[in-house]
Amino acid sequence: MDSTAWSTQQLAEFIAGVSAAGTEPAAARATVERAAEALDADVAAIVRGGELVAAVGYPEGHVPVGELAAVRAQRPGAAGSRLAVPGVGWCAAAAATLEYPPDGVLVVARPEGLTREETGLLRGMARIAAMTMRTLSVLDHERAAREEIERLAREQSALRRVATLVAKAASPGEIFSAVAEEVGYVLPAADFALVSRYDPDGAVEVVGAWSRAGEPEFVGMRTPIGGRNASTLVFERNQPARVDHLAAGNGAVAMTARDLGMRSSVGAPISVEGTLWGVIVVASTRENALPAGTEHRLAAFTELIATTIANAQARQELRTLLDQQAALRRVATLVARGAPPGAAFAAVAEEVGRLLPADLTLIGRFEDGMVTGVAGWSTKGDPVPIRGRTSLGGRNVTELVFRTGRPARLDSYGEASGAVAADARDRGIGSAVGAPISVEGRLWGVMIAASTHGEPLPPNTEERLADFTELVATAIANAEAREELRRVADEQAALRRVATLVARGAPPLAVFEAVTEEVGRLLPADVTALGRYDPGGHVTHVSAWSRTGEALPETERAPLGGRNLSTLVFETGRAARIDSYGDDFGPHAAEWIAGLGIRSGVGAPISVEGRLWGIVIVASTSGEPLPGDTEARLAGFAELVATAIANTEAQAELTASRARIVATADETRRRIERDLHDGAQQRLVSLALQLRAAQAAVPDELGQIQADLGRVVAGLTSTLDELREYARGIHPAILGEGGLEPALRTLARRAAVPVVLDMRTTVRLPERVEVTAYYVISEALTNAAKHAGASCVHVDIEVDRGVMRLCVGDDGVGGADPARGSGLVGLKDRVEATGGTFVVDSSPGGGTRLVVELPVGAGAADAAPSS
Amino acid sequence: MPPDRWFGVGSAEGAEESAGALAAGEALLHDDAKLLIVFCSQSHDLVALLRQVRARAGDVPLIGCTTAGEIATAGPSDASVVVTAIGGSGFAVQTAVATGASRNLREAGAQAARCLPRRDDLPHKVLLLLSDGLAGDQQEIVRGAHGVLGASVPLVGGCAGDDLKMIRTFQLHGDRVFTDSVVAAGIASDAPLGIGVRHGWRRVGEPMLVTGSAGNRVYTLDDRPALDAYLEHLGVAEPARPDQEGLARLALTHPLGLSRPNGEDQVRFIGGGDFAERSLSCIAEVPQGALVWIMEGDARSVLEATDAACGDSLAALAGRPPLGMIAFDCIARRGVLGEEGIRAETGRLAAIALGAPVAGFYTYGEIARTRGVRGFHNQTLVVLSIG
Repeated sequence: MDSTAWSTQQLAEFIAGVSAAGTEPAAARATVERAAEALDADVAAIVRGGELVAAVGYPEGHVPVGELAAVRAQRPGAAGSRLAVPGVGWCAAAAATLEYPPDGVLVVARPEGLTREETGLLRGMARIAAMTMRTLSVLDHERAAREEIERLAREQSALRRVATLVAKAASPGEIFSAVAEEVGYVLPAADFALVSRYDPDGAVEVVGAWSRAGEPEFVGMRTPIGGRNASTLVFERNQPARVDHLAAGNGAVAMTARDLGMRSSVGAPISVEGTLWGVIVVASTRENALPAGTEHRLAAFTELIATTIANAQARQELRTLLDQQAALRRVATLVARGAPPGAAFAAVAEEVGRLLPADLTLIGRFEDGMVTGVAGWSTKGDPVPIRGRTSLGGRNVTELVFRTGRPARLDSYGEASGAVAADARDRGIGSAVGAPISVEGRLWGVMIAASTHGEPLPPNTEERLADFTELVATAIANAEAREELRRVADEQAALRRVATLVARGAPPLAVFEAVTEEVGRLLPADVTALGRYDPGGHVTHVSAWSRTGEALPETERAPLGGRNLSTLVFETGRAARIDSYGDDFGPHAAEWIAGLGIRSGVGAPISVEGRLWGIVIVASTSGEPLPGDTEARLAGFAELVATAIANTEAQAELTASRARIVATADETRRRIERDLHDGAQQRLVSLALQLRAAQAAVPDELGQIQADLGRVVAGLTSTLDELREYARGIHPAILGEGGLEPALRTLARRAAVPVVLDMRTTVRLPERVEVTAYYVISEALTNAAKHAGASCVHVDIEVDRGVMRLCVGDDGVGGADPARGSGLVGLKDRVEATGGTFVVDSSPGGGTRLVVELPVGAGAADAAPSS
Repeated sequence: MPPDRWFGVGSAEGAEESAGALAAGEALLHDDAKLLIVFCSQSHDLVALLRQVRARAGDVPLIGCTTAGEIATAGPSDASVVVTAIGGSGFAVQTAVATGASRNLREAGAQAARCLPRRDDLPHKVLLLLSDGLAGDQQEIVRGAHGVLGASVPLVGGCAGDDLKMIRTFQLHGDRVFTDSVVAAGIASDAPLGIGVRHGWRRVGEPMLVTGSAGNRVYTLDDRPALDAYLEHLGVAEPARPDQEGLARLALTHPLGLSRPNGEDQVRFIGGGDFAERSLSCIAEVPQGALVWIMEGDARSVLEATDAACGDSLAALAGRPPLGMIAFDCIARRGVLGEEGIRAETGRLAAIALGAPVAGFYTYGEIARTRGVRGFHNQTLVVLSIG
């Protein structure tokens, strides 16, 4: 296999090996191992900044991270760095930059440096590895986000159940027990949950309890405060406390806890109107201490308990809390189900509006100094008109949130200014509060609650909005993570489909068509094209694709020039983009750019073994420029196209060189035949004649000498016959003189098996065709007689549309197999060297049939595509 | 005074009580042994066998495994015991065992590799591994060991056998018998150690593209069910009913070959097939996307590989005659050579060893990593020459 096909092969194996990894670290490890295997390297590593991500080939704990990090990505052919590898010695190192993780580099080293193809392969592997690791990191992120949402939803529903009890004015005992049970449900690590009250006499009394095992009954149990345990620590500090090793705790409470098998505990204070009232404690019987954050999560419940206790005057407040929790929960459920962001936005707008209450709510997204409405709700029940892009600036809530990244309020829109304020006044907004929506640390948009009836919104509106903006942010982050995942997976699949095509040695045109279509479908392009640079500054489009399927203009050998991608890439040898075409796009591009209404595009060079071969272009008819990563994404496809072309060229060169070898061999045979004919044969004939004359001159009485001379002459004649026979085997002279037909007739006559020759052409064919046909038939006849035990052979020859078709069939035993090593292999090689095909059909007992097709037109070497 | 380094091999036929003691007695040339290596048939009472050997040798570190035939200087045999002893102040040895290998093959390889002695005064090192080839992708074990030792220490060894029953193999460590395990000996020496690896198989016919595979299992070749494509390429008619044994016999002499960057084809032994799923199961990974050929060999090519492997392993000794040789010879090569052929092979080993003792066994997979990261082989002969 030649080296470029090798690269594709190795890349295909590499993709399979690395994409099987389930986590990001596993993918990194697979990357270094597979890269080392593919390049026969002694060491391979991924380093990121000064950190090691994965390595192979170094003893455990002895990876020279600093030296590896110093090997930078080199241009092919540039002198690489050197690394000392224990057990191997000095190695040439090569590196390829990884798009992910950021600042990551894939380094390999071995005693001899990488070839150009291997450097290309390393880059290809780095690209695939980066995509895989990024995909896995997105997956991990999404999994974590989903778990967080599920946890939040579970907590909200627990809070809601308790809040419902509180709102129904259930008895405090009932509520305390419900709280304990819900806490146990929300915190999977807890085995006990106890709500206790501090008594004035220095004891703590359990008022509500739950245990995972269901027993025993704790309510009413009183224990003196004191020692080192969660209840006492909370009492002393009036803040959450934890005891990770109850074995080391002391005091009555700790003793009781140990008796029950508890090993760690966390407590949080319950304060009613500023006074410490009691404590909520969770405990675990497991070896691991309760997780960090348990204190924080208990706090939500302690508030509910405090509310229960201050029940009477807090009834109204509780109703609000209940509503908010319910609203939050409805939205959280929607988000957790992976609903599209649009549905989540609409739900949030409505829930917030009903809850606050506000007359109007709006959610907007910030983009390029503008705000775009994405959802809205109003008390009037009519659909709220959503404005497209509105300019920021002036004095209004949206602008304030955009500028500060913090919640903002404007109690009177009389003094407001800017395009957003004009829109607000159109909607009748008198006052408004806005809260920022931040997605993964960046300001994504704003949520606005507004009043149209003159009264400003209540003072806590900012905080209550914030609860919802977090959910909106999660919905967005989720959707973005999914989108990114899909994008990366699509790209990987497309690359893989094309790589498989290349690995199978598909013809370049099939690869070109696959690439233009895959690229078009993958990138937001309307038109894609693949062009080849021809000598003399011309370009020919070899394949094109359009989203609409409309017919595309054909461009053949059009001169370059003007401001267009083909010319730019040709001149610079690098990727180029045009975000907005002018009028000066040049003659060859006119039909494309003006004719198809193309407004922007990106082109990437296709370089085959260091020379610029062509270009792959994606173009768009919309006014938006193509995304910033289009160049990088095109590059992967350009490399595959280059590999396909290099494969084909290598194949063509191979065929041409085989044809040359056959021609040289034929020429040599012809020369030997001629030398024999003109030299040795002639001399033998004249020698024989001289001897005959001598024999005739011997007197009859010397009968013995006469007889001896007669024997010499007979021997000489027989030697001459053998020599002629031998010369015919080397190169049939009759073939050169009379052509194929008389040569075959002679062959058929002399064959050991009866031959039926049906030759439907009489024209002289190129010598290489005649010679090849002659040898095929000659060998087939020998085989039929020697191995097949045939009783009859049919030979059919015809020439049709520039192809000679030749068929030799016998009725012998069959079972011939070229793979098993016979004269058939030599014939197959010879036929293929002249650009023909060779098929053997020889099932056991069914005779043998040889079908050979030989091109009669131009020579096989000439038929190869020109480079 | 005993020599600085010595190497002894003892063998005893049959499963009688004293076989272990006889073989050990023959191998222990001096009383400062550093390591015993035991190769034997699974038909022995393994616990009793170890007890006999240790009764002779005391608590010298011991590793070993069951086989699909044993090799000793005198020739190959079945159901015998072959004990190898190395000793003298020029060697330092430590051994390890990692159990439950199939749960985490890579970790098992790593655990076994940590036994290499830290002796800067003995610069030549090798890790000898004996594993359970029925426990999963053996390349993972090699990766685990390589991950600990890196490029500086060669790996050598083989997968235990069970007389071709393909049910359960055993590994021996100290006085204990394990299955699904890796046993290892880290050997440090003051003289060179040489490793040779050759297979003697060649490609037949056209290559096939591995279009679907996961780990050891090959699902599709050229987008067709792997079993069908394999049988068709060999020109074998589909058996009337699922015939695992027939497939195993066929596969023994027709493995798959993967082409590799260094030009040498890597051979993959086909351990079985799933007639319902139409898949093939190999002893080590066959990566998706690879090109594979069906391979074939004959007695001549296989014996040529024997000479070449021995020659390669001796070349590393820089002209010194070897103290002894240990051969890890694939059971499939035995299938090609036949009973007479394996006698001839052992004869050649002994001849090339220049009279030094020879030990070894017929394996279910061979380990040899001297360069690069690959180190698991199939249908191959691996020779370790001790200088």
